[in-house]
Amino acid sequence: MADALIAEFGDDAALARAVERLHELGVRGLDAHTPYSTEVVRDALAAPPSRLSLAVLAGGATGASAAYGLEWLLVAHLYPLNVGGRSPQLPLAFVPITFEMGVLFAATTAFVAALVTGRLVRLWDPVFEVDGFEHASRDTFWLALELGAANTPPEERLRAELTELGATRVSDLSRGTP
Amino acid sequence: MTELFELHLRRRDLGRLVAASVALSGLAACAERREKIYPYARRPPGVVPGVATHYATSVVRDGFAVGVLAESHEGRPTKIEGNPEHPASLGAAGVFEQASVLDLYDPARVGGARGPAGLTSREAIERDLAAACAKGPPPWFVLEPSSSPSLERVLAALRRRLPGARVSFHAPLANATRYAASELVYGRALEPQYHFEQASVVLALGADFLDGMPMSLRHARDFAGRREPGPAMSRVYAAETSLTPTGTLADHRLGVAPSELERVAAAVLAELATMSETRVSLPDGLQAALAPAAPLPEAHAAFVRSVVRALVGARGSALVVAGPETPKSVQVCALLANAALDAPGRALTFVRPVLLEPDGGAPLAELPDALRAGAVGALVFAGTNPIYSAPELELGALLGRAASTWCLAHVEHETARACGSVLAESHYLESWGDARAGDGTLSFVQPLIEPLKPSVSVLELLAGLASDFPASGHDIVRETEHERLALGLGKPKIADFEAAWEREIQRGFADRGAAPSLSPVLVAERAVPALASALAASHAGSRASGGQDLELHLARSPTLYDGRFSENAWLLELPHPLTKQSWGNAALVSPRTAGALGRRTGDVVELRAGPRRLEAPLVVLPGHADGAVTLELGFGHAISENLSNGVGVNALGLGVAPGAAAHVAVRATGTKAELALTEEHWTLADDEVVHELTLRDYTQNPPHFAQNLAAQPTLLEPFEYAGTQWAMTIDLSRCSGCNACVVACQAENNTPVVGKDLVRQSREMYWLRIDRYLAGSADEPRIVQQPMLCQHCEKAPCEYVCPVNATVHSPDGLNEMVYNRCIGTRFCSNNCPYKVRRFNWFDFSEARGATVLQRNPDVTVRERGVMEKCTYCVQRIRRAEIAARRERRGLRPGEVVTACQQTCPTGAIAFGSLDDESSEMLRRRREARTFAALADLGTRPRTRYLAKIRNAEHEEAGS
Amino acid sequence: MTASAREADAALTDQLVATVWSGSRYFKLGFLLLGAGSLGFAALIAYTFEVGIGLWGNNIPVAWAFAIVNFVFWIGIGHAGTFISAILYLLEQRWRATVNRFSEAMTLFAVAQALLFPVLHLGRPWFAYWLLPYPARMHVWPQVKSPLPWDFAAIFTYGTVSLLFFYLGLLPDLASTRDRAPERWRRRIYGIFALGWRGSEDAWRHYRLAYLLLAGLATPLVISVHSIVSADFAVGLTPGWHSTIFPPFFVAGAIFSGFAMVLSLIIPARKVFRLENVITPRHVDACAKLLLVTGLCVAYGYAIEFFVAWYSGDEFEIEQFFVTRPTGPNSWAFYLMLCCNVVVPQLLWSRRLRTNLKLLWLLSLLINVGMWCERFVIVVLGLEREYLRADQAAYTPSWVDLGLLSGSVCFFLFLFLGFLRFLPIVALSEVKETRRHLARARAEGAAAGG
Repeated sequence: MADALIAEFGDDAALARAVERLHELGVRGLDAHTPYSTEVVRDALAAPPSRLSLAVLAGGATGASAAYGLEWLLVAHLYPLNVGGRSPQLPLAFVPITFEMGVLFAATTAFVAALVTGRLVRLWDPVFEVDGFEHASRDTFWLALELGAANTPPEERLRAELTELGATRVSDLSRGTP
Repeated sequence: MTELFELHLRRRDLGRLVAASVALSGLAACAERREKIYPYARRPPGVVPGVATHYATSVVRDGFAVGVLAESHEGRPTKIEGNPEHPASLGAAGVFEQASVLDLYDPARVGGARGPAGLTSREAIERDLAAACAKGPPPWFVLEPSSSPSLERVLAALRRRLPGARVSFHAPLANATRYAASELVYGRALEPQYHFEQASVVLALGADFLDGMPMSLRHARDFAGRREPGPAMSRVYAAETSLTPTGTLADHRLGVAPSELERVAAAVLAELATMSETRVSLPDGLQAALAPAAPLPEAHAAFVRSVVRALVGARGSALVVAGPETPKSVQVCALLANAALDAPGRALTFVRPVLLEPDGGAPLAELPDALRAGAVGALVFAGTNPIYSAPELELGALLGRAASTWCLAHVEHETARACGSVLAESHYLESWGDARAGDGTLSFVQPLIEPLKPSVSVLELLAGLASDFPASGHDIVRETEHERLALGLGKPKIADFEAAWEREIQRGFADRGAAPSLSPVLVAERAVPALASALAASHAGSRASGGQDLELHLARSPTLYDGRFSENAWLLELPHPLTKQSWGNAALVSPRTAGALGRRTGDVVELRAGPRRLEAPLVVLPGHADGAVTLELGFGHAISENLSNGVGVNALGLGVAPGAAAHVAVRATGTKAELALTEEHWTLADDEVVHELTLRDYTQNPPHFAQNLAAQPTLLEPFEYAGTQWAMTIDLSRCSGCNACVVACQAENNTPVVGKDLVRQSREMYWLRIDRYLAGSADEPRIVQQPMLCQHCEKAPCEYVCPVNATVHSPDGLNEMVYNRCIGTRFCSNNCPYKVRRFNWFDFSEARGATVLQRNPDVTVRERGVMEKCTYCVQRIRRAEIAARRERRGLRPGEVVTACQQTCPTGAIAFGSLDDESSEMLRRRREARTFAALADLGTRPRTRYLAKIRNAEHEEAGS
Repeated sequence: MTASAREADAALTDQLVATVWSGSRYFKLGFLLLGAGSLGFAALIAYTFEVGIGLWGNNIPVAWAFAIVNFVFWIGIGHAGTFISAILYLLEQRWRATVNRFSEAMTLFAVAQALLFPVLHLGRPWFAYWLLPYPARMHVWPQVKSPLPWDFAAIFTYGTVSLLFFYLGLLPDLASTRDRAPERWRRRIYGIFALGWRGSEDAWRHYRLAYLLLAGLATPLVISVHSIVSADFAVGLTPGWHSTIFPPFFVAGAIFSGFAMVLSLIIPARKVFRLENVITPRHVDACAKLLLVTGLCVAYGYAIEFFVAWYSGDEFEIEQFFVTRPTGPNSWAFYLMLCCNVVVPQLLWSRRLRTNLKLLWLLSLLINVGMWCERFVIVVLGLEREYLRADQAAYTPSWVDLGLLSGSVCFFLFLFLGFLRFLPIVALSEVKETRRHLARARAEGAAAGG
């Protein structure tokens, strides 16, 4: 017995209409699978904006301060030398590496965060079991919806709605591993 | 890569050598032989591991000794320094003295003894030689000119034993003209002694008295004493064909072809003779004899006029010096001129000839006929290489006519190859001997090490033949000295003698060993006709030649002397002081002559003198005399497996003896030679880098170099330097560019020789090089030689670009290079405006054979891929500091001496700490003429230069 | 409309993914040749490691030469990639979508070359890690006043960020490739690299932001990297190096050379893979225009260099620019540089030429040559004539130098060929998105009109 449904649509507009309708019906936990990111779907699902930026900011700050701190510690504090008659503590010279390390850490954070929050880096996902899903990366748009939650309409009703809304096919989606 | 890096010696051999030298090192100090080998666990007396010991000995060249101190590490001689007490050195050492230590370890040395039947023992050869001398026609010995009292005794005995034996003293550059000249003027052979500390005006006639004469080291020191800018500063006029260190430092210089030199000398003498106030009576008819066959060119005449004016003005402190290789006529003129100037007894004194048989003994020129006549029994070459150095005698083909041929040789050379039996000659650091310095001072040659290969010295060989002599050189020399002292102070008690002997050996020269100064009387009547004929002859000669012909001038090579050092890698690579040519020699001509020939530097020309011809690359040398070509001796050896094989051309190949007048036809061959020039172009003196001004300008309106030494504005807070702060000053008015410092640095700091290919790629490894700048015009150049080494900048540009702290500043102001931290980015070299940093492009650390034994254990041998550069001889600084700390005292003023400073004949280099008020360095640094190279860059160099001051005549002031 | 759009998407996807399966025998040949070249490259590197960089033509004073020239050259190439993918992205230049995959790949492989040379040119390359502040027993650390550690940091960061940016952009297309894979094993491999991408809107949400942020970070980065590279010279006091114009001058030059390289790569690829419908003349034209603009910046840089040299009145600067460059040894490089970087780009003013791909391609190659020469002029001619006229020497490259240069070109092309063969060469999800966007915009326009 499936605990979720997944429906294929010909284009994003149709999918968006479906999302609105389902929202009216009070269905929650919707997620779309689209070959490319489209604002139509984005607006329809109206998900809250990502807060990746904060993580990235933190990462960048860490990198930069670590770099500057290390430079100061090693060059100016632990082992000060007379190099070219310049004083060991020379903030100007520390800037480039500080900047580069800031960027490096920020970028790495952004990448990793995107993978984690996007629930990626996995070899298998139930949706891969849905036949025809390979089109999700090619030309069709898929809408997945949770079942069994409180005040969601019964499955048959939803299937009917979806087909009516222009879904070219509707299949079960079982969260558990087959 | 060149074959230089191949290890010619198997590790086992190396081990043996080290073991032997180490074990026997105890010997260095004491006298008698010990055949015992003992483990280093029991330390030989007088050897503290890691602590160098110095022994006094002498370097003898063409019979003239220079006293030196040889540095020994665990019994390995590693470095030669001048002997401060020795009158011919005064602590300085020249290029050849410095480089001589490398010959000891030369892989090309003759190994052991070789008979007609192949390898044999030294004893066998000596036995056979004795036999050969005894039977058949009388033997003929060809020896290097010598002044050794011991050899004198031995030869006397030898003559008694082998009546009819003939002995020639042969060396390409040795000649007796000065004796002949003094014969004419004073009626007896004399050795002129020049005292430049007495001379306020000097005329050098083809005389390189700063670098090319037996007493040059002393001359240089005396001369430099009179070169402090000021009223006492001496003035030097030089007339020479090629450009020499003396010409470099001369205040006025005239480039003259050899024949013109004669005429200039005559003109000077003529002018002097006309001067009414000459106190000595010059011989009558001198004027007539000197009357020029043709008027001098205006330039020469003007030169002569000003010279004479100056000489006469300085009567009593004036001096005329004629080079030993100049024709007799020139030397006669010089002697007479000196007489007219009251020089004798003041700036000029005489001693009796220093050499045995000053006339050179049996003339070598007679040898070929004797050979053809079959009148030669055993033909023995000891320390000479006539097949190379006297090719006109065609000895190579004639040797077969001698009953037997024998050669005592240091390296495998042409003559050794041609002789039936060859015996290894001991290096002077391996053998006992004695010789006289240029002023007659009796000096001793003391060995520091057992012969590395079974070898014998000339003295020992001949003593063996003469028999009734002890076997060991030591005993012979000791006997001789005993006899000498016996004559001196009546039969001395053995004890006294022991004491005297020990003292003398320790010091390196004999008590009361100096030759007495003579005061001969002028008997010049015979001189006049001789002069007249000589001048007439040379004039005729010069007119006879015409067209493309150039006068040939053969000169001693400032890097290879006469070829005897041709296996010395240091000297082969050493750049010529003026042409900066390394690994080869060339035909030197003036820019004008080159223009007339339509040839440029690098073009190969053919020189033809009578039947003989040779091909040499042309090098244009500003200041060289027009209408003449100079070839330098010592190159063009042809022993295939030797280093010198095919390097340069043999100037003697034209069959003309140095000093003899000759003309050569010059023809372009159309080919080009690949020269290894370390300086491509003649760069004009640049105010940013060198300063050169006349004495009058300097005294009347002193320059203000100081202002650009003031600290430049900077955003960074300045770094405070306190306490001992090392610094150096180099006086450009004293630097003749003689290269002694370059070799000294190489010997001290283990800097590698890289070979011609890499020099051509501009990868030479010298820590100290001499940059040559041209002031004035290319036709009348004034040369400024600038020793360029690490400037130890206080704001060193090399330091702040090194990513790994491999070059940093020490608290005592040294720019330190940390080899084992260096990763070789070479950014430091890019950022060094003085380009004194060197990079190990390959693994240069591998030594050629035994030469590894020469290395200074106090200096790291650098590995491939690291930077290196001058350290101000930091090893010497630290050694002194350690000594001071051990004795719980501070550094003494002048306790630290860098290698370059120590060896510099003119004392151009001064080193010390900025907090040592007493130091000469600081005194010079405070002179108004002190400047820093490229001061505008704000690098604040610790090495400062003193502007070159020329004591020019006033008319020319400011020129 | 829907149907047609869908078919179009399908067709486009298939077309662009198809390149991954269609290994023509020309590919095999290409791999063979370039592979051989790369092996030669490796051999020469080994030789240099073994014997020492004495094998090169370098000397004193010219202690830096080919290795550094190549390094700066390759780093420069990379910059156009980042410029296209990051800066144009921020500027919402949607046409970039068709070429950014190319240029990012180019960046990546160029940086890979660039990373080799600084290490190889060390006297003791096996100690390169001493530039890192690793916990050394001797307590000697990197000397960060030197531009070289800056360089090290910059290039490392640049390489990493380029890789992340490239990979992140690649994810959706890897998924497409995975889903179109004919055989199971291929599906597996691409599946692994796709990291289980499902195009879920939830992932897209973060993905978009991450991509935007990376673009935002890469933009100052790309400026900083070549500025720091230029500091390797500008910090030194060599005449011709010690100049404040270097950072912007270098960045402009870098982007200039980069666009040239993009064109030299795209024009053939477009032909081989029949991408005329994706990479339209419009795109090429845009690249060409940028080439012209950056070219003008570079020309301005040259002019200013000479002006400042003259205006400074410093005799050494003046000699460097007015004597050494026009008349010194290797001055051929100077003239070649002027010809290729200043004269040739002026042809781009003509629209006809901008659209004539063959000519444009030749021209882009010329500019690559010119930019290499520029670095040669700065590095080598700068060192050949420095302060002390008494210690100057000319430079001639050895055969090893030439070998390493051509070797690195082979290796670069080898890697790039690999990219063309095994990865979707156009950012297809983006292209699809763009088309959709345009279609909708057109539709709305029509609606408004009608």
